[in-house]
Amino acid sequence: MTSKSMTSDLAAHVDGAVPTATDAFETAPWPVAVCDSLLRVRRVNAEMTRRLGAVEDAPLTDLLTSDSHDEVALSATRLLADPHGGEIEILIRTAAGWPAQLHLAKCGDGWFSAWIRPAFEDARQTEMLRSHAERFEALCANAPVGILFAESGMRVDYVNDHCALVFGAPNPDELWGFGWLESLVDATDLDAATAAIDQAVSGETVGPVELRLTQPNGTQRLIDARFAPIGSIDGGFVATVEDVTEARQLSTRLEVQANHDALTGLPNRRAMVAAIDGMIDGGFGPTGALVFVDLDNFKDVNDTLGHDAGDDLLIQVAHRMSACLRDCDMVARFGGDEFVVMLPLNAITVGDVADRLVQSIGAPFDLGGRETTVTASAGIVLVGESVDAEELLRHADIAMYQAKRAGKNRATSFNPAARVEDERRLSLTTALRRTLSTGGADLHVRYQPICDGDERTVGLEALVRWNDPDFGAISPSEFVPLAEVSGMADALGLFAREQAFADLRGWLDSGWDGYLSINLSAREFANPSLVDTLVEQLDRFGIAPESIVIELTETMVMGDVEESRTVLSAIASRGMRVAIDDFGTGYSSLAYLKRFPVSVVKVDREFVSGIDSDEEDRAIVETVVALAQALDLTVIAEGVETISQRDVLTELGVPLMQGWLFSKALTREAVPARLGLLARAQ
Amino acid sequence: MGLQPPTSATPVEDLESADSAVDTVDLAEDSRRSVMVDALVEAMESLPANPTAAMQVMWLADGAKTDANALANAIELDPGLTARVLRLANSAFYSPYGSVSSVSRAVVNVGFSTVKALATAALTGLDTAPELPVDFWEHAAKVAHAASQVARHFGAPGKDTFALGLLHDVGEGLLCTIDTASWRNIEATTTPMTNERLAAEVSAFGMTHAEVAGRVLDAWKLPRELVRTIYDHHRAPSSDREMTPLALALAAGESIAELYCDEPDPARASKLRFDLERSGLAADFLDRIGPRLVIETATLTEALAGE
Repeated sequence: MTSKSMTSDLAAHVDGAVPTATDAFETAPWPVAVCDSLLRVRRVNAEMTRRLGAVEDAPLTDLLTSDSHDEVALSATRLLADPHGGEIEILIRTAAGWPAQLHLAKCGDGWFSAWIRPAFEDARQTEMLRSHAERFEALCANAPVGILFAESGMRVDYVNDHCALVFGAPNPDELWGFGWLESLVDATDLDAATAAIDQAVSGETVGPVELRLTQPNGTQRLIDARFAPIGSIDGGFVATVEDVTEARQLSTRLEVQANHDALTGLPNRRAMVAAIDGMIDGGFGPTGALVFVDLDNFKDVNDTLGHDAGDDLLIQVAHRMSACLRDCDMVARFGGDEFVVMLPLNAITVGDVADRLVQSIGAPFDLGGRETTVTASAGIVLVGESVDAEELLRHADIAMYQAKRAGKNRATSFNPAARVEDERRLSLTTALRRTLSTGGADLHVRYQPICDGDERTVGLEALVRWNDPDFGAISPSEFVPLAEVSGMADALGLFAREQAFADLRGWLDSGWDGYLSINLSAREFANPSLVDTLVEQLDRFGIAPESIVIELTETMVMGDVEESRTVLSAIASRGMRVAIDDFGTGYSSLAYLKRFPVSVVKVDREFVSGIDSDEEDRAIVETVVALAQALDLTVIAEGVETISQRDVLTELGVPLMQGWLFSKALTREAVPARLGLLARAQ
Repeated sequence: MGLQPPTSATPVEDLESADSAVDTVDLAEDSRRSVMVDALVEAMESLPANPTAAMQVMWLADGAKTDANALANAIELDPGLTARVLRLANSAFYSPYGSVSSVSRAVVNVGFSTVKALATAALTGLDTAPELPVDFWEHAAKVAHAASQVARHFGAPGKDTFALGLLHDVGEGLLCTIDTASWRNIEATTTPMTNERLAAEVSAFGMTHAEVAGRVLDAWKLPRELVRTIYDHHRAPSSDREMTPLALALAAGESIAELYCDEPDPARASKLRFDLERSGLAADFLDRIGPRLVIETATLTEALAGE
């Protein structure tokens, strides 16, 4: 068909009058409306009614979702103000949610035509892209981490709100370009930041990089920044920033706490062991040395001046020790009154350094206005070829103990010859500390009956026994002094009394009317809270003080006579009785005894053992008994093992005795039978 | 120009049938334009010292598998282009804290799109042309920067928007290079970005600078959307054309640049603000980026113009 014939065919169909504009309006394939200057719909075509349900006189915006209302109104205003007329297309959504183009044009003075054309594939794809972009924006906007984004190169062109928060910037756009670096990141960290960005735009992932920044209000913050390439071939990067100020401060505090002694601020044992390992690993072993320092009479300060003064003393000691050392040296507090000094380069002069430390500590301290003098013992060990920090410390500890045994207030080098004995001491100390800290499972209380002339048990002496799984049975003569020097005497005594008082309570309840004799160590006796502790325990178990005899040695009470009298008077005033144990082996001054509220004197087994064969022993005991009777004291003979000894003692007038002749020390389970409580119960 | 320039759906073929803000031309005029285009393209091809290298850069920059090293290798064949890319990468605008010595690193710093824009300038000879329109690079720099700042708002890629800003008035440079006297006369007698200016361009050269740029860049196979946007960037909004994000960003960039860099009279400033706010750019946001734009554009212009 030619174009000419086609035109003829079309012309043949033209019939009647030319359609009106209204006809065209009504048959338009898209929704069309005529609106007044207020965008009120005045006429709608059939499609507008069919597709959008438009009605005349309703606002045009009723046909659209609310997010486009402002833009439509603004566009209408703009068109009205434009003398040349014009038209505007706006991407909108119909009230039903379909994307569409609103074509708004002036048609006459104060009137608009509004075409709404559904946006099909392109618009849908655009919508999808926009939707993806919006998701990405929403993700970034709501992420709890700061995000910076550079599409290419180093210039940042996106920053989320959280990032602005981290930087303290009022608006994210203020950080665009290099704004985040220029005004906020500290000058000293700029190199690190730019180097990281440089790596990121070159394709590497970098971080975290710690950056310090100063917010516009002057607040200093610390951030961790992580940089990553964005994957395009021409550079660009994405960075996340996280404010770690508080977390880092906490971490630092924890690190300091983990490695430092809270009281003195010195490194602690953990830090020292690491430092020693570092010294050895660094090749300084052959020139290095350790000095283990222990205050000789620290407990006395604590007991007499109080714990605050004790703490003050430790702080001052720490300062003095630090002042004696060079920058490359290190001093740590190991706990209690123990300090360790590491000297990486002082092997030759370590003796001088140790002496200087001891002398420095020996100078008087001012503790709350009270001049106080303490001494220190120091043990020296050369690192040499050793590779074990713990072993070095053990040897230094042994050397320190050797210094104490040599008279204290001095420095002594580690003597390998004494190592075996001292290592046993150290091991036992560790084992004792372990068992006490775990409830004393390996410690037991035994009871030695104290009998009258009829061999009736009138009292029981509580004795602590230790049966270690590794070392076996350990003599009290070995572990009690250990407990004394290692600060465990109070804990040991407390443990023993707790068990003994509980047992006594049971036996008293069963009808026994005897008493319990308990031993105190010198450390316990010197403890200012001793009497209060005893009374508290007795009250807790409901035991009358009269049922308790406190045993002390002559040496203990003769140390500080006035102080002893005060303590003993306090004990006696509470109703407890005081016994002098091992009488005859120490001062043996009955004149002094007269000044103390002592009720019982226990004659040492040393004199009892020979009483039936040695005139001198007999004479001593005879004298003691006579004087005791004169002073109205009760006499108890210890270590009675034979009938002969018992007879002589009876003859001399000793009313009470204890020893294997009558009974060995009994377990708690065996005591009731001895006391006749089983028969009574039956 | 208007804030929302429409773009055609296809490049060159559609460009010729598109509506124009200037008077419609008759067939004789159309023929004259065709001759002028041929002359312009011919003139362009004879201009650059090393067109092969710049052209290669342009092609490589579009390659999906091209990396910065490959692009750098191509750039290094053209010493002038190499110097310009390095100068731009080392400017305070792109790298305020360190020096960039390798071309591949420079490519990464400024981005492929910008490299391509620089190659285009080299290809047209504008980087070394003795005569250029008044404030040619300054205008290019400020529109490029401003447009890239608002690109995300319109959903346009920032780096492409920046390149578009650099090239959008390349047609003016071409016209000035081809016939400097006529161009200077137009500059002396008309105001930029007015219909009067466009009409004068048509009168003197047979087409507007936008049309010249569109045709030349299309001949060099620059991305269709970029070409279309440049070709249409002085056209009035049309109802049957969909506005692309790139076109919106460019239009907004021009308005922002004029508002903050050119000190327009109050009435003009008010209109610019109105248009920008209508497009969704908040006033306080504009007032924050505006002053920064002035400062940063100075360093960018310096690097671009080689001053």
